Amino acid sequence: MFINWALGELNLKIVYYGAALSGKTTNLQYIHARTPPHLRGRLISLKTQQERTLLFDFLQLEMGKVNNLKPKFKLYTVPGQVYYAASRRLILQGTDGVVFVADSQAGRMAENQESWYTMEQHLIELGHDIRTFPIIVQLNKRDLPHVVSTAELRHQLDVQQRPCFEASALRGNGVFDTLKAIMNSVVSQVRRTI
Amino acid sequence: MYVHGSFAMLSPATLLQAFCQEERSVYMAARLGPASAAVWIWEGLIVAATCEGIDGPEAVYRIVSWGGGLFTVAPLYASPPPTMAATCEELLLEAARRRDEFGSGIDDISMNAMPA
Repeated sequence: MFINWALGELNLKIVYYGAALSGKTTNLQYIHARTPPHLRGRLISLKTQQERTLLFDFLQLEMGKVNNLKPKFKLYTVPGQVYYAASRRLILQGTDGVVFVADSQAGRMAENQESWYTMEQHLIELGHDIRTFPIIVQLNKRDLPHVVSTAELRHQLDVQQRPCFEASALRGNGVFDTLKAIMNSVVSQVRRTI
Repeated sequence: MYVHGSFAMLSPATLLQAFCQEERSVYMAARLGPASAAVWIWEGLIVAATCEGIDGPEAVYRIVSWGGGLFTVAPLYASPPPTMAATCEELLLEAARRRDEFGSGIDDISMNAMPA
């Protein structure tokens, strides 16, 4: 969270986290493409191995002000490959909420679990209480054949009572449901703490 | 009106992010031993940088790896001739990517928080 007094904005940071090619970038591209241009910033893209790291910010006018400050969300993806540890740690610092994007395909469970574990480790290292930290789980690629059941995914990732959303980011299904859930969760958390 | 300080107290990345976040227009000069650097920020965008004889984005990647040094920041009243135009985030993320991929000599990108 960053309070920008000069602009009267409350800058909140949401990170899309998950294994390589789980659909994080597709989520952000979809959101950016469907956000009115006057409310969003430039989509910044960095080329990393296999996929791209993206970020952009946007004003959320419908949500109303928080302590008289306009909430502005900045969305980031992390590079999913194992060896981008420093980049992931850098991006996660100062984050207010995380969307964990899980790949529902059978055969991707090990990568999902490894990514979930590293996310928890990074958040703990950064001093967050992961029992209360805003984390929304997106079960992506539900439109593909040979996907694991949602119950099995929840069990394998040990998501406990965290909200889960089924999605097909490529088609846009579930993308904004996930985004709204994390924005509400983050703002609720901010309101509890200020 | 100037701000003086040490990167031991406030890392280069944190300092640059603070001025960029608030969309300020400032000039930062810095020294680390015999090395010198300068960054020009105009309305929150980094529009020019030089460090140890290197210009542009490469200079910023070098500066954020500094583990110490002293800085002075002064307001800018006129836009300098831009040699680049980049947000602080994209430069820091690129520096982190290089470190992950190549161990490019950027040993200590300030791990202070990326801005919200």
